[in-house]
Amino acid sequence: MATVSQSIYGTDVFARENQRVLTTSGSMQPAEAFAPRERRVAAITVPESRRFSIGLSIEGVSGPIELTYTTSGRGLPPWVDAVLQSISLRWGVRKDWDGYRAEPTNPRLVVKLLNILSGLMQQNSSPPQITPLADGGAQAEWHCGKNDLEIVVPADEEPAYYYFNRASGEEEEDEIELRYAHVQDLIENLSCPDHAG
Amino acid sequence: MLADDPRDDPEIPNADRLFRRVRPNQLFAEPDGSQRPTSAVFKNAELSVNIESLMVEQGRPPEDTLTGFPNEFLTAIIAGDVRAYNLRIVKDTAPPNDPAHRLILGRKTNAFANAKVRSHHWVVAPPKL
Repeated sequence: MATVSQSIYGTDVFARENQRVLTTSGSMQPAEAFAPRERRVAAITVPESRRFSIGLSIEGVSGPIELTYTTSGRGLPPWVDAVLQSISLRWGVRKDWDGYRAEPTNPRLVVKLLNILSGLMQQNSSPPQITPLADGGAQAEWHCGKNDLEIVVPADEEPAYYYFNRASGEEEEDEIELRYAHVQDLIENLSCPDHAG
Repeated sequence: MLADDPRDDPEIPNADRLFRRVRPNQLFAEPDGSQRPTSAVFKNAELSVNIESLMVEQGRPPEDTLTGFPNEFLTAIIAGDVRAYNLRIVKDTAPPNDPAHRLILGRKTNAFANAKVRSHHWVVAPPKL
């Protein structure tokens, strides 16, 4: 699992051709995201890893928040752009952003969510919408056909998933770590139009 | 500010509507372009709501909840549906001391929040996209 990066920001570790900066200006807050998919792949050989960076521009935040990730693959999966756009659009910038005493969205909790998604989702998975929580956390959500699925990263509880089938009434809620492969299957079995709102 | 052991307010009937503002960044767009709250709206540890019967007593329409929040929308859930999840509707003595204001206390599970998404009714709905 990736951790928040402290030392690599501001160095030249990123090859220029690998930098995908959506917006650049001002200072950046570094955070490492998109851990390699390590749970399903039993690697026999280890290709050379490369580190990528993304500047996430958020209205009301001075300068982009920089996310970094390391991959031995060719780059980010297709769902990432939609997810990052969704984060950028919905970020809770200030304290009390909801008028009900909400905490500002915490970049570390967003990174935690992105790392979880990176582990759970396949290359061709449908992108979820990302919605801020009042405690500074964030959740990813898919609502496709009769299926509702959420990956929730709150500030003070373990990451959890919630699934509801509107046709059958089947409902599940648990910590992700306890049912990791099952949550992967739930995501894989979703059939969504590309929607990250 | 809350009492040490805030009790459910028995003056709030189960049939009462509870009004809650919804910000644009907590909406989800359905395939037909209509928008609904995401479950995040109903997950606050202290979930603030205005109580319909108390607003009526004060001669205030539900839309008064949106005063000062012109870009937000207003949804309603039912008091009895909240209590069904072992949550309490309690008085809040903190500013702004709105007499129609209450807090829903207790742990909001994802199941609770999503059930409220399925049962909520817009009072002031967002436009179709």
